[in-house]
Amino acid sequence: MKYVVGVDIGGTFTDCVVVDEAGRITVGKALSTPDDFSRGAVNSAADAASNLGLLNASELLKRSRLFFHACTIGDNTLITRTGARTGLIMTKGFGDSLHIMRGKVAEGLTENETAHRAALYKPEPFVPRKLVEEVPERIDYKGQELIRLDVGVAERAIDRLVANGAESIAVCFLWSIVNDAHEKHMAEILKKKNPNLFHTLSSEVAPYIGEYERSATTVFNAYIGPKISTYLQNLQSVLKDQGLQREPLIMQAYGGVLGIDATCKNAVGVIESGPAAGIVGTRFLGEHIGEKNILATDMGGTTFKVSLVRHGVIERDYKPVILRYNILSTKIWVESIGAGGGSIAWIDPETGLLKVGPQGAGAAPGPVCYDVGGNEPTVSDADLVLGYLNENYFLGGRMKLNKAKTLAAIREKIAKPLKMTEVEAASGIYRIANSHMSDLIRKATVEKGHDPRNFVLFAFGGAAPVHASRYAAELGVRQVVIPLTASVHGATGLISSDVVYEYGKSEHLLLPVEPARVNQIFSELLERAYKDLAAAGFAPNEIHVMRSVDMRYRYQIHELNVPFSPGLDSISDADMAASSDLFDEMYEKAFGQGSGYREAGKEILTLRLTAMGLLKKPDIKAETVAPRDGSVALKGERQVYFEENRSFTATRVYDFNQLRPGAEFAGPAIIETPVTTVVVNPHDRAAMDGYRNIRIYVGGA
Amino acid sequence: MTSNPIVTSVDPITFEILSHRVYQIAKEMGTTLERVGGTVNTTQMHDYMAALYLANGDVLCAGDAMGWHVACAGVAVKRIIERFEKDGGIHPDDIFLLNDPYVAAIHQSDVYVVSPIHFKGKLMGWSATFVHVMDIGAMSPGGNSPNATEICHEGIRIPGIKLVERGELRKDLFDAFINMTRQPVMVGLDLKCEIAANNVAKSRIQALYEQFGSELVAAVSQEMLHYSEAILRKRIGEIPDGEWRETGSIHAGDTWKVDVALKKTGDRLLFDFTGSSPQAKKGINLPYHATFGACYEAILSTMAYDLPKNHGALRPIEVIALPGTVVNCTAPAPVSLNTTSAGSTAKFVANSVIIQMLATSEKWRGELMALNVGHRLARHAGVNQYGNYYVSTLSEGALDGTGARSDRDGDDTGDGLSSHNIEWVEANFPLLYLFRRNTRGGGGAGKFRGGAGSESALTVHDAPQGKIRGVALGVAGLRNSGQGLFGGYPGAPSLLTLIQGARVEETIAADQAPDELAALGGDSRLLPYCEFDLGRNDILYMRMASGGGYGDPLEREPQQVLRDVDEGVVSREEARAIYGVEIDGDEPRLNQTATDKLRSDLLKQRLQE
Repeated sequence: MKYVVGVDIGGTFTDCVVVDEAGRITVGKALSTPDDFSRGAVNSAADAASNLGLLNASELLKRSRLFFHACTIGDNTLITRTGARTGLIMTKGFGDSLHIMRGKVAEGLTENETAHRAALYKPEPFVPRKLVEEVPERIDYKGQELIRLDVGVAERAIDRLVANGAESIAVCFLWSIVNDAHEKHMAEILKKKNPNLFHTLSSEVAPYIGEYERSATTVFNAYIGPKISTYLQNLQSVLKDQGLQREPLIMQAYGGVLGIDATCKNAVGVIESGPAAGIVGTRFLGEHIGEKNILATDMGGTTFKVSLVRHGVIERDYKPVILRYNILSTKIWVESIGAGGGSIAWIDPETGLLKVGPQGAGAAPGPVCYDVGGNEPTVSDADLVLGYLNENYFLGGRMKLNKAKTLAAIREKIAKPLKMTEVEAASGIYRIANSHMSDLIRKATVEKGHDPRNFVLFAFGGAAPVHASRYAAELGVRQVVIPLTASVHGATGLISSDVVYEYGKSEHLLLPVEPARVNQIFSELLERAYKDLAAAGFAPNEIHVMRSVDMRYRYQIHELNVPFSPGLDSISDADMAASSDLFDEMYEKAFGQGSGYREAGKEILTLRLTAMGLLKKPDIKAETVAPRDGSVALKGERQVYFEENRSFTATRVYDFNQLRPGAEFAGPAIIETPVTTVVVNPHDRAAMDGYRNIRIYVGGA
Repeated sequence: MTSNPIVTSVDPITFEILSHRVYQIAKEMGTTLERVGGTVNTTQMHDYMAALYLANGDVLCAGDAMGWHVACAGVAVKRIIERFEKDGGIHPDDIFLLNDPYVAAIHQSDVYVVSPIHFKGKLMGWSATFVHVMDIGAMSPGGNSPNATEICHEGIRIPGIKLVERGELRKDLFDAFINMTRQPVMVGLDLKCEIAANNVAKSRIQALYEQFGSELVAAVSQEMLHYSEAILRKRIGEIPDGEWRETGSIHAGDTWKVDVALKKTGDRLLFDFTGSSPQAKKGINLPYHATFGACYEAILSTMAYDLPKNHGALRPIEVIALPGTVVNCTAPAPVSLNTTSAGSTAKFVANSVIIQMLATSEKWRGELMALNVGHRLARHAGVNQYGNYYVSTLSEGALDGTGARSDRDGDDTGDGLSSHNIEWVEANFPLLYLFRRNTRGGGGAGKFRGGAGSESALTVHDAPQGKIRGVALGVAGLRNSGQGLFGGYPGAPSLLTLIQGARVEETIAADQAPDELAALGGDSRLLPYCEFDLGRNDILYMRMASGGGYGDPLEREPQQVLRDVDEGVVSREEARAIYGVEIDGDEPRLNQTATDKLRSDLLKQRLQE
């Protein structure tokens, strides 16, 4: 038997998902081990191996056809600021570009944070000003050299940086994207002077226009690069010792995997790769159940996140904001707000209004009902008061919830000041939280020109299945899916991933453009893609490429990524015309009929190539679906509050583990699983599909 | 701790849910403008307004528009109602346009698009936007005309037309309008983006009526106004009564004075501009609603930053400005330069009196920030490297430094807006940057230091005509700049300088970075409001405003001063003279003993003065 293994290392748990040749999924879990994450990885594999009836992790790893991995070490290094002491070398006269940040002091902040000017300030830079050196050199927008690189100054700059403790060097010169000679020359000097010093060039890590964003990307890469390299090399050697034959494949933030070397060169690509694995899993599951348009929602303790799959393609973000810095490294697109089970409900003392979030109670002190020190009522507390959560069966009974204490907190902090009952207060908290989440989804769909009614909604995260049908109903979404693998969906995504390389080139082209020019650039990118994928072991027939351009109306700032039809050999005049028309169509869809101003003309800014090495996907089989009513899974009845009735209703409770594919019943109902609770509202209908996912048909449709 | 509830006519949960939604809709209008807009002002500089209104034209929700725009926008819809109610009619899917500063705009470049929102045939509310278009057919490209002496020199002026009639775009009017500008394509794009934003608002609000019922939405809307008004009145009421004064000046050839007295009585604020200079025959004059807006913005950015921006928040404010003055001009006074002259001066004096008032309050003192007003900017026009005529703005104005606060330094180059990358500018226009950096020593000294604004220098590069045309804007009044607070020093004011005949090409040809102006020579002159040519070997030097300091510099932590010296932000001489800190050694080191003595000497010296 051969296996495909995915290991997802999170902050608390390390998940392992294994698929065998028959398509059976086995799961393993272990605590993460921050002192050396590879131990937790092996432990989670050992747990999965034991669930498979194998002797140990080694027995599993020896038989692994593919090994996938996602980690949060890049994110953690940035958040805890424990990366390499990084020096930055820039064009003389422009050394403040990173610190100036184009003046974008409010980037990545909420409106409320931005409005409070006395508390508004820039993030602490990842390179102190003292570690920025300026070197005389200048290239212009055409790529023409205006000032030669001053080698003497460059050498002294490196000496000074090293003397000031720099362990890693980022180089970002103006216009290196059209002429990288000076950056390449800098790399030569660096290699000659300090061969062991980690360095990174902006023209390699982010070959896109915009010196601020490019320098931020380069600095992030230099900052986390050394640590990522050490980490991955250690992981690889530990796994090899355990018998793994193949190179581990590492998840990237755009939702594809790369080998160890490619990942180390472009370390910035692993930032936020954990959620990317999840969305890859979402798309994979979607394919199996025949859904191509998916709203993936994740409601955890303090954050609510939304990502999109449209027409089977994961929505991407080419200019993401990471820790308030704009970077040029493609990742999956995620919109988030501070709303989760742990979001605190509070009364604004000045206005007497009920507010929910954005502050959260986190794991400690946690919601009141956890009884581990929290005194502020949260969304989860409201869920308990309303009867959605079971005080005796939270996390499958592993945690007892304190209902008396929860009621008292909601009474004292919310109900009394509002002159309401505890239940009215809890219902208010529940509704406000749901409305904030639906407002976010609206922003993620309607404001981008997508109709949420054309999507199914996936609910991930412990708190989501309690709320999902409500925020779905608010938007007219007709179906909610609670995947069986929801609790390990990151690892599930890993096993269904392909090897994906991303290439791009900034090139300012006014339409109409000669296809020959476009083809020339794409052929350069293609050549690199075939070389990289061949090195990763892919034959030409296993390679799939997608070409696209970032296009906009002239004089505008915001661009749309316009794909060409996949699999074209070369681009013709007709293809160019089609992409121009497609842009108009996408534009009007996003911004409204009549908003497109074709007379302004169009321009291309960036050409992009996605090259995929296709991997054989695990073959997950559906079970036979036989219509049944679910009564065998009925475990009892309890009083649950539903807004429709404005009162508690005797509600049937089902045991997820006893439900079988095809089971179907009408709401109101509760389904309890060992990891979460699914609320089926009145007028909705629930069913278990052939993959043991719960489907909720909102409004019974 | 909880007082009587402010929201009474709808339940607080419904209020929270619906007011949040209304705010999201107003925000989405702004996002649409930014994404669809054609000009730098809209897409980068946030120089636009997007708001929802009640049926009577009161502002319901203004998203995240600037405060003074909100106040002006409060007039726009009312004027359209007055004009069209009887004559022309207000029908479903009509859209109106206006840009007359004597009606509602600040200056003609601010083009309003106003749209009624009907539901089941009944007028329920309005939406409106304005963007600052890149050209308005005035005598100078870009709309700001330094040589204008009356408003008729300043371009198209429309008190109100119906641009879209029952959903049909009046292409004749649309084309007539854009045809009068130098940049018909770009202005057309701006109008389109405004139409799109208003369409978005209409469809979202109609969906809200559909879902919740128009009566409930109307009730919540009334409560939203009431909410802002009640809280603001309460906050004002908590502050001791009093009167505070400030004077600012506009230097643009002559000097004009802007005087204000703030009288705080109970829960009302009265700004009295009596004593301000008569209006000028130069476009520095403000219409009344803009003066009102400057006062509102000062309140909004300090004691009301967390309140929904709507008509309720305007009600506790009263502004007296005599007709015929620079703060309440009458036709035909020109206005096109007013945002950077009387506008920034009115904002400066209004902020100053608000700060003085808040300083008397324990509750608000910690929230005070030193100022950084008075930014300048430059427009530029000409033929670019691709042979096309263009008009644009250098977005350095986004790179002001902020004032110091009660607990930390101000930020360098970060005032909430965003500037362009240098590469973006050079890719689109025939310009070459020589440097862009934080102005060394720019921030005002203090216990907490003000943030430095940027300083940049540009020359022409690959300009087919060998030169481009520039328009320099901004007050030269040094007094109304980044004043310090509680003993903090002022920040460096912004200025624009033209250096002609410098050794730019020679320096570059010698492979030297042209990043020190002193080494480049040439004839240098300050640019007041004027047009100028920028040719080969000419340099446009732009310095943005730095923020003032907070508290006595002698109280600054010596270790902080050491860090400032180490990073090159403060020189050793300044450390000694201003901060009383002695730094020794090649590698900067703090001399604590000498510092203690120096600080004590400096304090004694002050007592003797």
